[in-house]
Amino acid sequence: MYTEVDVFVSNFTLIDPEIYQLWIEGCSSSEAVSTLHKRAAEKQSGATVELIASDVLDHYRTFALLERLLTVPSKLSEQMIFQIDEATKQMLIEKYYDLDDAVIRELLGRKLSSRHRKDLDEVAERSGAPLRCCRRQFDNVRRVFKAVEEMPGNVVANIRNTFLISEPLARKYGAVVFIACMRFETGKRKLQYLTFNDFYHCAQAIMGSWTYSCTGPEYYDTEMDREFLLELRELRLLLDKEKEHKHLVCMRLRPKLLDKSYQELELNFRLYTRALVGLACNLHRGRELRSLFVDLLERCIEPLRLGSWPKTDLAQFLCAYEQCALQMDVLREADLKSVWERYMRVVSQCLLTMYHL
Amino acid sequence: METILIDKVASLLIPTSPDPVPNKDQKFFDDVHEKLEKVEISRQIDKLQQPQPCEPKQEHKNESSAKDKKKLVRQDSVQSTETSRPSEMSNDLDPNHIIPCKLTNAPVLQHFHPILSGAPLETIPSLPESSLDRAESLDVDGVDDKCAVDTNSASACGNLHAACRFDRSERDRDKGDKDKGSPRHARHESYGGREPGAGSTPAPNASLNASSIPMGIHRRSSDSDLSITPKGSSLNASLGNAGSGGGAILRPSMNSNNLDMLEYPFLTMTEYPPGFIVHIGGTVCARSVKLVDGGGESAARAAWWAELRTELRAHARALRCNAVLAYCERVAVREDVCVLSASGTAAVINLDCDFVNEETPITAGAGRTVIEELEMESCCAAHVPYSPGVGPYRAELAACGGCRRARVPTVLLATCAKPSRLVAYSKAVTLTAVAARVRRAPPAAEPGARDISDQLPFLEYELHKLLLAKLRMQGANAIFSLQTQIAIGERCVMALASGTALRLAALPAPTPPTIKASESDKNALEIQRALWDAFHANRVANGYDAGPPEQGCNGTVAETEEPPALELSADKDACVLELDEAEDVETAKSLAVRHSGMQVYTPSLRAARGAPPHAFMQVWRTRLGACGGERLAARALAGAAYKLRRLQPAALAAPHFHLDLPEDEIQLVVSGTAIPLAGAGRGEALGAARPEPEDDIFALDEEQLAKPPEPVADDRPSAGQAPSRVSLTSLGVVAGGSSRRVCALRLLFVRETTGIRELGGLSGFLHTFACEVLAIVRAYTAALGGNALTSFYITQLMLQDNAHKNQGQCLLSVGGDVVHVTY
Repeated sequence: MYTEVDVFVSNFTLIDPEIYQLWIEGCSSSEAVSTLHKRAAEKQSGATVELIASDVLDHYRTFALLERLLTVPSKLSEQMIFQIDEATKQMLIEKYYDLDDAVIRELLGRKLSSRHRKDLDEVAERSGAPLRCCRRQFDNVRRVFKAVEEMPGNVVANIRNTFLISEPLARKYGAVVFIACMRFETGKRKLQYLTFNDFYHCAQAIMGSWTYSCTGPEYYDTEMDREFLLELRELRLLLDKEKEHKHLVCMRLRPKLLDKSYQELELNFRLYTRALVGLACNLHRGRELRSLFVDLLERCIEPLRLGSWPKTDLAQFLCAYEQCALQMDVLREADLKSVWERYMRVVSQCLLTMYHL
Repeated sequence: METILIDKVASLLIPTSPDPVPNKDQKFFDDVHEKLEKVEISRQIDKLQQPQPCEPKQEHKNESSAKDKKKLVRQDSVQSTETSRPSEMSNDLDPNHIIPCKLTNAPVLQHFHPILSGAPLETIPSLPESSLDRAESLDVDGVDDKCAVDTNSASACGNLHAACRFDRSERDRDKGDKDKGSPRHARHESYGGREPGAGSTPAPNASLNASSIPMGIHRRSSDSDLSITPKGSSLNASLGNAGSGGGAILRPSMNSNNLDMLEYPFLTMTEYPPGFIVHIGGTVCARSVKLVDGGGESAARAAWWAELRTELRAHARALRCNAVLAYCERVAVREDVCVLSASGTAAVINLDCDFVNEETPITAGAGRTVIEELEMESCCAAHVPYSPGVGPYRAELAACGGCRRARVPTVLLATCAKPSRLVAYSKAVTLTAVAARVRRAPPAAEPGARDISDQLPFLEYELHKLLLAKLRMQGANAIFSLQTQIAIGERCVMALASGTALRLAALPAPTPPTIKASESDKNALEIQRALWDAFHANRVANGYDAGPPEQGCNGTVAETEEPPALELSADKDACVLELDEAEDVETAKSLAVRHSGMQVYTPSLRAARGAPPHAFMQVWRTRLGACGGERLAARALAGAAYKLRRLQPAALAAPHFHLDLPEDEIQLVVSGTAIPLAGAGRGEALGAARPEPEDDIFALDEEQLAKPPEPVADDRPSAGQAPSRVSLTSLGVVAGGSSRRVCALRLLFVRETTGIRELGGLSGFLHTFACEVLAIVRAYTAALGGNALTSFYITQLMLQDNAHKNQGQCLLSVGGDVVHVTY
């Protein structure tokens, strides 16, 4: 039936979460109608296609009007056009800003400029999400990035305050913003196996330990602690005491590791320690810092993989490696114990996260 | 470009011009008012209050709005017309329910400005009523309207005054025309419970002749008034002094005799205190077709309405009733042809009833006498006020299922709400019926008018037949809140009726419709079977198959079965369907289709406390022919139910329908309210076997007891802020809360866009606009100190677009009563 006008408006704007979800996922109205119709048929609710279509169109029109407001979530509370209860508003915002791990993984490392908005076809193709959905997330990330990039203070808190989203989601955005700020290399083919979740955990660890620790108006937790990075150079001392370090580590790990791993360790300790300490020494250089994940992969993960270490053994090793160095006089004398701890905490976390079998 | 023309009346805000001089007739209203006011105090229905006229406030967003406004302002001019009354009368008395349609060549509306872009305006803003009000202020006629308006207290608006008036009548949708139609309910007399010396002359043929007028109720013949009516100055008065029409102040001194003094004993309220309605006679309606050409005088138009009112009064008198309730006037206009309708429910009323005494006192603890009184009265309203066998109509009467003594009609149609004491099954069903006829003459001028005039009786007959068939299919026997509406299109004319169908315990149970066809007709037999199956399924679904609802505390249980003799008599009436034509078959088949919509809100359902009512509006517009009106109306109900599914459990308060036929399209606007209910299955639990009055009583008690400890945080305005939520409801009250009335609100909007494609087409444009209109209404409500708007209505939705120019225009008028509700 041809209907020129079919509009349903109510005083309290009713949002059907199901339809909203379909919209968020980037379904066109006709796709949404057919999906809902299938579900309705399963449930035998007896709703006709006409009714569903009319309802979906009403919702889509409302969403189109709401979308303008959602770009600035605080406006959703201020606006008076739609009377929506708080829980629903929260749901609208939360879902609108929701991140699809597959999509955001593709977006990581891309330039967040409007010029690149056109190039999202590739993202859509690789993540399997509809283009519309990618665009929404791209725009959201870009908006969030622009808003908090220059904002002093805790980035997660800033995001929460500005965009009124939940803590876990804000943390995700925080990680995305941080990775974007640091311009970490994440797009290399070799790194493709890492999920967004891996990067999320790594970024969380780095933000927790390597950025300026006191958060205040003066500090940005999206900035690395320069002094710390410079101090890392001093860790070169450890390479000179490699033998002592190896001895301590082996002593400690002998009863704990599998024989195979232990032999691996004895054979390749030098390789590992050079990689770990060498990484630390170079982090003060911007380029080295940006390629942190690539370096971790190439210099640590790949050799470890060759040795086919079980993850538990790797954890034991990293722990022992850190502890034993602390026992050595060389670090105590150079007053590097805290620097070492700070460094190893993050690197251990990153390695364990990135070490997929 | 956007234009918003707002006109608003906040009677509280601005004091006003002097009230019209009260005259003798007003005394009646004084009385009514006085009494009603008491009720009000307890109930907070301050709509009865005479609105204080005030200066309108207008905002012009830009200069074009000024222009629009001007157009809207109507010059009331009418020329008097002579009609041959007696002939119509006879028509009217015809049992076949012919509507009196008068065709006059007399000139009519003069300045009928199309609003915006020259499209014909479907409804004439104003004139009829406003001019009449003014002109007949002596007769208190206008005052009457005013004082009783319950949906919105007449809000006066300066320049738009006239328009407002008109709208009200239009909107009030107390409509209902049924009158002539149902030979069944209205007609005959039986039983003498008639009250105040009404119909003292049992002249069976209360013909409407002017000469006969003095007979019943009215000492004062309006005819004399008619001749006086044209008071040219009155128009000016109305324009100059906004809202003065509503300004009559009623003074105390109630006396039923005053009713007789009244020229037109019409009340526009739809709900009345218990005991006020003694008997319901039936729906009465009068229509006339007029030609509007420019340059008429308001006096003539006043005379048109006076004719209709006089006629209506005569109908009521013929039914031995002393008043018309839920009175309403409407107009449908196309080109220069307009159809004026006046309708209402003829009833015998008791002005001496105890207005303050609500039902609450009748509880278990009450004295025996009170209970007996209730017992006597509970079915009284259904009794016919006339005695059987007397009078001009052939009516089917049966013995009352409640008291077994008095006579009741087999079907009752009324435009007012169900009197609360009348015992009914708890489930109600919203019924709609649409009838259409093709216009055979050019739409304009005399041929067009004559054609409409000729078609109207058939249209009404079809509508009535369909409505009764549907009523019967539901197993119900009464319709309340009946509204009917005529829409004139370029090529066809349609009538829409909607109402709330109920099964009253006092009236005989309906039988399934039967098909009149030869035995051998397979097709007919199939249809017959389908009809019966649907009938029984509906009956079960509605809970009408159970015994009649119990009479609560007094324990009288009416017998389930009707005496067979009367059943037979009920059988031979209009619910025999004939399958003469192809359409008849279609109709019969469609009757067998069951529609399940949302539960209908009745006072017996318990609204969830603190959950605000949920007003909505729904607009459909499609090509004429792509979808019949009947289907559109059915879809409207199904659509509302589906779209409000997330609110369940909820019930739908009787929605209001507006049918329009712009160009070659059909437009249906449905506005209504969903009331969230207290808990799933609650309605059902209360349902089946209980009479409503009982439920009311306990609901009230509980609510009063439980009220204090349940503040609803959400609805409290937080300090320094506007109330967080504003509810809108089309009902007169917000369930579960006590409300204080602030003032009336009426807003008129015009919007134009030059980017209709960018807005998502006409639907997108209207969607945006409607959302914003509701937002503005809420903002006004909050700004005026209210947190809810009751009696919310939407009228006059005009939507136009010019696809080539990417332009669209929309005109919309909304209003209601601003109240502050405390939960």
